[in-house]
Amino acid sequence: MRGLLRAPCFSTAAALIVSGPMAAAAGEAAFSEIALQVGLDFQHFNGAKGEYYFVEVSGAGGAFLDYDNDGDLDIYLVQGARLASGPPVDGETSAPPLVDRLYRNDLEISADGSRELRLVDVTLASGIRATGYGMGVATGDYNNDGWLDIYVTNYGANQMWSNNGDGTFTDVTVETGTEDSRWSISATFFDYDRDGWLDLYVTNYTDYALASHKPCRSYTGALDYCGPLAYNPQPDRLFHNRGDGSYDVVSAASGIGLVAGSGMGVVSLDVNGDDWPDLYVANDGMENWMWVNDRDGTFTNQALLGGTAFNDQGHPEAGMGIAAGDFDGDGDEDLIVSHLNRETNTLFENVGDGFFEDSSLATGVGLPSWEFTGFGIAWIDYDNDGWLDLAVANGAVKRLETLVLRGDDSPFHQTNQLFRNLGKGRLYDASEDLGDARLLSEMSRGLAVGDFDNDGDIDFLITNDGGPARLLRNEVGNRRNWLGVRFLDATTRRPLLGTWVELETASGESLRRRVRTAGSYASARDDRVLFGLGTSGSVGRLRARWPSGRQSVWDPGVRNRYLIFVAPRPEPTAP
Amino acid sequence: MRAAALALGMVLLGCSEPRPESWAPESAPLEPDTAAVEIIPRPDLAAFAKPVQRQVAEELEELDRLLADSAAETEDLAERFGRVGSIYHAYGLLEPAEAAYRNAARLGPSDYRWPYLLGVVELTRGESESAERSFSRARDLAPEDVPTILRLGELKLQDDRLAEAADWFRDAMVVEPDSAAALLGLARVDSAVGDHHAAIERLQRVLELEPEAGSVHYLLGLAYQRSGDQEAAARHIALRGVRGVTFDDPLVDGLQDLTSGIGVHFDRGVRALGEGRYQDSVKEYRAALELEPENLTALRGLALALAADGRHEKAAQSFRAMLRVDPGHRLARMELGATLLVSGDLEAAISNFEEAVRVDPDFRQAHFNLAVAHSKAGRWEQGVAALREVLRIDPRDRLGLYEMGAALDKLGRTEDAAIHLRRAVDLYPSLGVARQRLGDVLSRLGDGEGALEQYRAVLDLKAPNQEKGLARYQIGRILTARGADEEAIVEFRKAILLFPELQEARLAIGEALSRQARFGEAADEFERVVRTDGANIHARRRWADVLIRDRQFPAARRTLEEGLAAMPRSGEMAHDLARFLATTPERGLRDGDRALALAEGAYRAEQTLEHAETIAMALAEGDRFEEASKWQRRLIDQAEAGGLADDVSRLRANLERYQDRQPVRRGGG
Repeated sequence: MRGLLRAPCFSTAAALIVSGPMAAAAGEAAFSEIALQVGLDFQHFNGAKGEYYFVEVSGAGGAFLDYDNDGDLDIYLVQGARLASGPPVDGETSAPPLVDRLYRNDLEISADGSRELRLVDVTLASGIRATGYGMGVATGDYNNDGWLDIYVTNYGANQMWSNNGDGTFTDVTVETGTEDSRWSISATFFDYDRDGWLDLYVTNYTDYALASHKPCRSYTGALDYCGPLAYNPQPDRLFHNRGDGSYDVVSAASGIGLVAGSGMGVVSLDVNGDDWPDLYVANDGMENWMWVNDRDGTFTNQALLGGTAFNDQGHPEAGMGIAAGDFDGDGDEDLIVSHLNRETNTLFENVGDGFFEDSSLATGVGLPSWEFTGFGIAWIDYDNDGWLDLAVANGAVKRLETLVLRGDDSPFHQTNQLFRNLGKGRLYDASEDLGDARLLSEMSRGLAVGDFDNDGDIDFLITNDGGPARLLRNEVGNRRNWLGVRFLDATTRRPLLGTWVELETASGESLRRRVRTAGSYASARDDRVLFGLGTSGSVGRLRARWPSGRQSVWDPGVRNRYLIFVAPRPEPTAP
Repeated sequence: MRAAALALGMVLLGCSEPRPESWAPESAPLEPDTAAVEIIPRPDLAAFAKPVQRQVAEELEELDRLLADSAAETEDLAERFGRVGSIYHAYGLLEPAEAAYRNAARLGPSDYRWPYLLGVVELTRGESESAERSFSRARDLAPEDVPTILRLGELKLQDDRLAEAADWFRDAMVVEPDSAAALLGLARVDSAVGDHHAAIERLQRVLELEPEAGSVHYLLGLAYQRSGDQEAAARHIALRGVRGVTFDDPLVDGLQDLTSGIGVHFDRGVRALGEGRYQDSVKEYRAALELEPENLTALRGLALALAADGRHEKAAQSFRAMLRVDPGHRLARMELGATLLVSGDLEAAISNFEEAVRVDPDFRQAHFNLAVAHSKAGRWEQGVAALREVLRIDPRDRLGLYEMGAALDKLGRTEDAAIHLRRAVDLYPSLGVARQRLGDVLSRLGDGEGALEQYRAVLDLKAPNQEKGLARYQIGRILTARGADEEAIVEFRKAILLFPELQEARLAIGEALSRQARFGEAADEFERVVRTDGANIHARRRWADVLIRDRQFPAARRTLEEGLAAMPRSGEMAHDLARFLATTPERGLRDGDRALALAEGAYRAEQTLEHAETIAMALAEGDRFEEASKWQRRLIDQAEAGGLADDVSRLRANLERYQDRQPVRRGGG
C-alpha cells in the first residue's frame, strides 16, 4: 500500500529517474580547483585585526571578462585595504600591494584540442590603481567603444575604469559623473531607456563608518560582527547615461533613490515580459525591491504585490546575492536570493505578469541551504543537460558556534554548494560534484561564472573574504553537446546586455537565456550565453530579442562551438 | 483519530510519505540506557558576565557530584543532565546543550521534555532529519503536546511533504481547535497546492485569532492577488507588519526562567547596547535593578543605555542614583558631567567635572572633559588650564595636544597653537585631524608651503575619505590664492570624489571657472550644489549670477524665481530677483513694478547699501528717474560719510544715468 502511494509522488527519487544520464560518471568529480596551477595567486585582505569592523565580512567579488577582446575570459579581483591603525597584520605588507588585480588569460589551444591555461598578472601595466576598500565589480561597455569597462564598488568612493583598448585603463569616475562615496556592494550596467547606452545601478548598504563602529556580541557574549539593523540603510543610486558616456544621477527622479535599503545584490531582468528591463534588489534584513520599469524614466517597486518582497511566511530575510534565470523552462525568468544561515535561500518562481511565488520548499533548495550563509549565487547549466543548475558560494557573517567550540580562530568558514536541476522545477543538492573543492571550507563571497577555458562548459571563479581566490574548472560538462553564442552591436561591437535568447532544440523544446554580466554577489560573469544541448545531435532556430525590442532569427546549423551574432543596424528614423 | 486525519491528507494531495518507524509508541525502548552517557563539551565562558559563569559552574559541579555518587538515582541524573542542557540552551550554547539533552533522553526515556528540547536544538542547528526523529520520539511520549505536533508539521512543510504537514497541523487543531499556528500551517499548505480561496479563509481566521500578527496580512494579500482580487490584495499588503504568528511553547519559554539572575540581565543589557537596541538594554538593566536596586553596575548600565537612547535627563538621574550609593564614585561623577554636557547644561557639567578632578586630581578624562566644557562655554583660557592638567598627567596625550592647539588657536595664540599641533603630529603622524588643523594654522601664519606639506601628508594617511577630501579642498584653496585655478580645480574635483557632500569644493570650482569666464561650466557646478542642497542660498545666487554673465537671461530668471519660491522669506533671493527684473537687457524679462516691490521688501528686511541701490534701479526701470536720482544722491551722501570711495564712484556713474533718464542694464561677463 505504501509503495502504491509513493509511486505517483513527485519525489526526489522519481525525478532522478527522469533526469537522464549524468555527464560525470559515478564517483567522478565534475570540477577541479586549478587557481595556483594556472597562476591565480590572489589573496584577499580584509583588514581584520580583532575589532570586528562591520565592513570586514562583506567583501569582495570578482569578474570574468574579456577585457582585451582576444576571445577568452580574463579575471578581475577586488581587494580590501587596511582599516585600523596599529602594526600591520598578515597579508597587509606582502607583495603585491593591496590593490584590485587584473589577470590576463593567455589560453593556448592546440590542434588536438588540448588546452594550456596561464594567467598573467597585468595590474601594473593596465594602469588600474584601485586602492579603496573594495566590495564588488560590474562590467559593461559604458562608452560604446567595443571594449568592456569596469566599475568598482567600494566601502568609500567607487571607481569607473575606462578600457582604452590597448590593455590599459583610465580612471574616469569624475569625468563620467559616476562617483558614489557611500558603502556600495553590487552594481549592474543595463539600458533602462533602451537608447543604446548602458545606464548603471549601484546598491548601497548602510551608513556604517569606522568612527561610528558599535561593538556587537555573539550568543556567547564574545565580540562578533553586527548585523545591518545596527546601522541605517542607504538609498541606492541610479546613473543615466547621457548618450555620450557621461552620466546624470537620476536616483530621485526615477523614484529609486526615494527609499533607503541595505542593498547587497542587484540584477536586471524583465519581470513582466514587456521587453523593458526591470530590476530586482536584495536587501539585507528587510524587504527586497522589484523595480518595474515604467518606460518613462521612472520605476515602481512592485515587490510587495508581486510576491518577492518577503518569504512565504511574510518575513524579511537577509538578502545577499541574486540569480535570475528560467530554471523551470517555462519561458520566463525566476529569481533566487541567497540568505543567512537559519534562513533558506529563497526561490521566487515567476508565474507570469510580474507575479512570483516562493517555491523554495517545493523545488528542494530550501532545506539544504538552512545551515549556510549564501552570497554568490548563479544559475548555470554545469552538466550541459539543458536545465539550469544552481551554484552557491557560502560563508558566515557571524561566529559559528560549532567552530568556536572547536577552537577555530576564524569561525566563519563554510563549504559551497551545487544543486543539479532534475528537470521541471526540482533541484537536488549535488555538492559532491564539486570534487575536492567540496572540501574547501572558506568564507566565500563572490561567484562569477563563465567558460574560462573555452571548452564548452561553465567554470567558476569563487572569491573568499580574507582568503585565496579559487578557480574551479568544469571537467565534464562538454561531454554533452553545447552551443556558445555572443551578441554584439553591429556598429560599436559592444556586447548587447539584456538580449533575450531562445534556442530550439532538436526535440522541439526551447532553451531561454538572457545576456547579462551582473547578478550573483558583487561579481560579474561571462557575457556569452552557453546552451547545454544534452545528447541532442542538432539544434533548431536561434531567436534573439534585442534590448531595442526588435527580433532576429538564425539557423546556427552547428554545435559545440562559439558563434558571434550581430544585431542589425538601426533603421533610419522617419522624419 | 490519527488514521482519519492521515487519510484526509491523502485525499487532499494525492500522495504522502509513511510516518517514521519510531512513530509507533510500542517500538520505543523505555528502559534507561545508562551505558552510553556521552561527555558534554565545556566551552570557554570567559566572554560571559561573571554571574553567568558562576551559574554554569555551579550547575556543572552539581552534575559532577551526582555522577560521582554511585547511589544516585537514574531519574535524578536524567533531570540533572536535562537541567544542564537547558542552561546551555538558554545561553545559546547548542553543542553542549545537545549532548546534555541526549544524555537526559537516554537516562529518562519516558520523559518527553528531553527529546523535544533536543529536537529544538537540532532544528536550530539545521539538523532537520535528527530533529524529526527527536520530535517523533517526543510525540510518542506526549501524543497531545501541541508544540511537538506543530514542529513536526513545520518540518514536513519545509521538506515539501505537504500532505504529511497538513495531517500534523490538523492533529494540532484536534487538540487545540483555535491554534493560529496550526491554521497558518494549513494555509501555507493551501497556498502551496494552489488552493488560494482555502488559504484566504484560513488566513482570515488566523488574523481573527491573532490580529497583531501583521506578517499574515502580506500572505493574505498574496493569496488574494493570486485568486484575482487585486483590490483586497492591495488592502492587505498595505496593512502588512513584521510580527509573525507565535504559539505557546512552555518548554522553550521556560528556558528564559533559568537565566533570570542579575548577571543574565547584565549580559543581555551589554549585548543590546552593543547592537544598538538601546530600549531593550534599558529594560534589561531595569530588570536587574528590580533584583538589586542599588547595584552600581546596573545603575551605570541603565544610565549608559538611556544616554545612548538620547534620554539624557533620565540618564543623569541614574548617575545621580549611583552617587547616592557611593558619593565618591569618580566615574559616575564624570559621566554625569558628560551627560549634562551633551544635554546642554554647561555649568552643571563643569561643576561635576570639577568635583571629579577634586576627588581624583589625576583623573585625566575628567580634566579633558572639563576642558571641552570650558571650550563650549567660550572660556578658552580655562579650557587651556584644564588641558595643561591633561598634559601634566600624560604629556603625550594625543587628543590633549590636539585640543590644546585648537584652544590656543581660538585664543589667537597662533604660534603657540602651531607648537602643540606640531608636537601632536610628530608624536602621532597618522593623526589626520591634527595635520589638518596644523595646515590651517600654518596657512594663516603665511607658511603656505608648510600648510601644503601637512595637507599632502593627510593624503598619504589611511585616513577616512572625508578627511582626505578636506585636505584636497584646502590644497585647492592655497592654489587658488596663488592664482593657479586650473590646478586648484583638479584638487577640488578630487576632494568631491573623496567627500561628495563637501559642497564648498564644488562652489570653489564654480568660482574658479567663473574667474576664467567659463560661465557655462561654472553654472553647472552651482546648479549641482543647488540640486543637492536646495536651501543653499549662496549657490543659487552664484548660479544666477554666472548665468547673467553668460547672457543666459531666461535661465537666470528661472533660477531666481525658483530660488525665491523655495525660500520666500529670503531677503537675498528677493533682492537678486529684484535687481535682475530691474536691470536685465532683455526687455521681455524686465518688470519694474515687481522689481520695486521686491527691492523694498528686501530693504525692509536688511538695510544695506546694495539693497538700497536696487530700489533706485527699480525706480529708474519704472521711468521714475527723479525719485531714483533723489534716492541715489542720499546713498552717495551716506557712502561718502562712510568713506566708501569705490562705492561712491559707482553710485555717481549710475546717478548720471538716471539724470539722463537711462536705466541701468546688466549682463555679460
